[in-house]
Amino acid sequence: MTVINVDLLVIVPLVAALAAAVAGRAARWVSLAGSVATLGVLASLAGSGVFTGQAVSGAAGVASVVPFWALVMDGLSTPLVALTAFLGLIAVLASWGVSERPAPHHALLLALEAAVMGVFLAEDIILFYVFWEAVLIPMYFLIGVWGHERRRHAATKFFLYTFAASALMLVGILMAWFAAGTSRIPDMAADPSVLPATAVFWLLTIGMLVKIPVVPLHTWLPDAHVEAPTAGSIMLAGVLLKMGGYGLIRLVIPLAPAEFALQQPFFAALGIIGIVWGAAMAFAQTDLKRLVAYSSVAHMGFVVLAISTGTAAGLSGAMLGMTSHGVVAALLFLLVGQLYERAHTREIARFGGLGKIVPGWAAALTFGALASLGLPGLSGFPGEFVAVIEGFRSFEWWVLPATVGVVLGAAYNLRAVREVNHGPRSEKWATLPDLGAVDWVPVVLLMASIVVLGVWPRFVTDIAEHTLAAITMLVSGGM
Amino acid sequence: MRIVIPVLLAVAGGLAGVLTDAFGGRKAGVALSALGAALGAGYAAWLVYTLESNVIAYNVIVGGGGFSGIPAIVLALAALSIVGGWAWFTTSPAGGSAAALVALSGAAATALSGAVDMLFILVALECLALAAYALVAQSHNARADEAAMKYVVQGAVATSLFVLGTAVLIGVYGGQSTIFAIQAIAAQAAAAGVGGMTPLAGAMALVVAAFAYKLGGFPFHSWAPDAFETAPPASAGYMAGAPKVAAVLAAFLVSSLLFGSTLLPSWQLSWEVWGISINVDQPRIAMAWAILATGSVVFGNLAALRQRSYGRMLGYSGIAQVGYAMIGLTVGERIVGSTMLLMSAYAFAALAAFLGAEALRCRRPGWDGTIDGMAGFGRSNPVAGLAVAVAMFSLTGIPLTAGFWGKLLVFGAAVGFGWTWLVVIGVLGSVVSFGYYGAVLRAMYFEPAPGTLPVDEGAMCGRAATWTAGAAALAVVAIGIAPLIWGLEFVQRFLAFG
Repeated sequence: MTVINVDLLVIVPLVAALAAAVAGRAARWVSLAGSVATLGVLASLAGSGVFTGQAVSGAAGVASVVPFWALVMDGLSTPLVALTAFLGLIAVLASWGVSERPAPHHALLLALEAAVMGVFLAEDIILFYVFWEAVLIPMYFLIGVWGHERRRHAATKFFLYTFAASALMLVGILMAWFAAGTSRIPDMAADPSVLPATAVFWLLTIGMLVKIPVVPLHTWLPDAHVEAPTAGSIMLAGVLLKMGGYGLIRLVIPLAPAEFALQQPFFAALGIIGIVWGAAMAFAQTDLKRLVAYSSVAHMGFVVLAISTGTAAGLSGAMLGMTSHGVVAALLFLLVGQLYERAHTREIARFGGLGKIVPGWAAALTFGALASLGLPGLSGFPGEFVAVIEGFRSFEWWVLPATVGVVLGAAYNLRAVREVNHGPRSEKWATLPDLGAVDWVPVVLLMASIVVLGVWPRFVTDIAEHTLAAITMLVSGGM
Repeated sequence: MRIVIPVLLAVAGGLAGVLTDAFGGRKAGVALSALGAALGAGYAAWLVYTLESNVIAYNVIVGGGGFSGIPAIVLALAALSIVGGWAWFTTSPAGGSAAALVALSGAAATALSGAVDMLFILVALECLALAAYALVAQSHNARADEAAMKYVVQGAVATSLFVLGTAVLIGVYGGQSTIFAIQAIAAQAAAAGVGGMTPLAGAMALVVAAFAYKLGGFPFHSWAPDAFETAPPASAGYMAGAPKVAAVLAAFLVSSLLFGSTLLPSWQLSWEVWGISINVDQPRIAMAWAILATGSVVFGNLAALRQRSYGRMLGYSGIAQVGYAMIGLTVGERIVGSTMLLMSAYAFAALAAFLGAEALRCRRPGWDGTIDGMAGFGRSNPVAGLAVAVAMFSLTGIPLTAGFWGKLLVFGAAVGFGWTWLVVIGVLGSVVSFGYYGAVLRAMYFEPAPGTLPVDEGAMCGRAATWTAGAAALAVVAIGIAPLIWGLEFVQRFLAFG
């Protein structure tokens, strides 16, 4: 097997993970090198045109009997692969100060990065499933070993919930595999009419919807997000949730386009419920991390709404929403984690006046909240704007409740900022140290990416345009 | 007639071992037992590469291809478990003979894999059972005695079922005992319209029930949890897997060559629920296995969830694992290779799981055998802990382990041949299984080790178990990852049944 750069996107973090596992105290440097090298591999692919939406294949497996190894990086994968590589680095920086058994912590982070890369790159449905499940293993240990008080419960719930859904998805994959006689996704999608559409559609959809997650399949998420260590939350919210949205666009729509066309209102309803429910729940939280966790449900609701339209613009909006939420959620979880490290509590009510005590941190939180509520000019705006516009074009006034979610989004974000940053200054926190130089590095990187995506969303949409147009054709052809 | 050489090597090793032990050479005896099994495994592996087509020896046993691959796997398991249990075998009062029993049991399992004569199968099954009874009783306490007695009594019932079924077959269909002869005469009788197939159907019920007992499948399972809990972990690691691997292969041969023919009228019934066809137009043998598989998967998983003892949990989970193999038996000879991969993966994972427990027993002499008692084991003993963790993931069927490919190929084929409902049960069972396999991971990694443990770093005890468990786990991971890149060719070579 000749290794091509696309394969390296999986191999480099994996090798770095193995190296970090045995590196002892130097683990964080090894994992920093590994995540930077992965970004380097990504940059080296620029020459082959991936950033203009061109599809680049990795090396294929060498077997003649059952070759599963096949990777492809196309317009749909590139933005998410870039997000994964970027957040992989952020997660390493966020766990720079981890003192409890840092070597396995960093090893698991990099293994997680490798597995997620594999999900976004797999061209073979079996390989896709292998990576999909492989993601669970490092995340399970990250939550269970390095998490907070209720980590055991949260880790088990996370694993069982998503494993149950993906086991059903596996049945759908097996049905599609046998009916199509091939496990290559493009070959399967070439003639979806031979597949048992209804069963494949629903079984795959269940797997994706739990991962995204949509209300009412979301209950694993608040627990897992809140209990995970900061780096785990960043990867969980930043990239793991995107696997669900990606799977809908990559597998569900191409393999069962006619069924998807029938069920568009179903997805729209799920999306809208997620937007309103997530925002309402976020508004009701007293724990800052839990608030951010529920805001993920709302943001992913916009993504589902955008996907439900099945139009090229809608799918672009979904891609934008996913990349944007990736960086925004990462920033918010990072900030909450930094606060927790200093104050050892996340209760919103116990804070106040932090704007005067830790001005740097407070400014960053305000910035993150504004991005999260969808301020134009920041990354949150274009994706959710497109989702609502396209949703209106497809479903007309039915999307009206989503605007309630938009208002609630502003409300819970601003409430958090007001109660934490403003108000009477509590003497208890007077000695809280502000962000140090090392803390600033990931914060600034994330803030910069939020501005870039907000000002120039075409960075994502141009890459994805071509691939998404082809997928849209399937939906309209299937009607 | 080279194909019986692995059996002979293992028998020679076991006999030499027990003799040497009798004259006081405990360590040399254990080593000879391991050596015999290892040489047998090596020779069988060599046969896989030199003897691609199947040959039949003495009209009773088939070898070559997968029929030598399974002996290689079974004997390798025997050798590894003797090496891994070195500390126990060389220090326990009857350890020398226990090691010899493992080697001899390996020989019996080797003879069973590929046996095509009903009487020969009976003898091989009995040899396996006798060795297993003795191994269970090795712990020398009241509970072990009770478990062994229970095992013997129930085993006698199963044997009588098998004897009765065989007697019917031999008596009614021409007085011969090879599967081929019985099948040919039954076919003639069917063609001539003489006699009807009632005796064949009756014999099928008896023989399938006997196999279900030997495999520890529901509802013939009640001996298994006791046996696994009370047997010393060193020999339980062998017992949990290897005999079942051989028995599944024998069950395949009997059920597809003898009962899988079109002689027996099939059961017909079918309906459809949103695209998933529930299709009962299947041979009777398939339905019999499907029912047993359903019972085993459902019961084994639910019962294992309630266990607090590690060995007992593995015992109940073994019932569920056999249930997955029975899904393969349901589909029939078309997926014998995939099912044997599933069983082999199970056997290696079970070996790693029990040897991990052996390492734990060495390091924490006061361990009460519970899952909670394994707290912090992953941190205090990273290698043994990791081996157990890999075993748990493989038994669950998580990707990157051999267990995943076994389940994927068996379930995939079952979906392809119209057994989707059975696969749904199997898949849901796998999800439930993480409830108890995950409990082990939780205890080992998420809980701190109890603080008052005597740490005896220099102890030789546990080192062999640790590294053998590690080797078995490494094999599980290697076979889990390699097919992604190289396909399943090299695995299939060991599991090619012509």
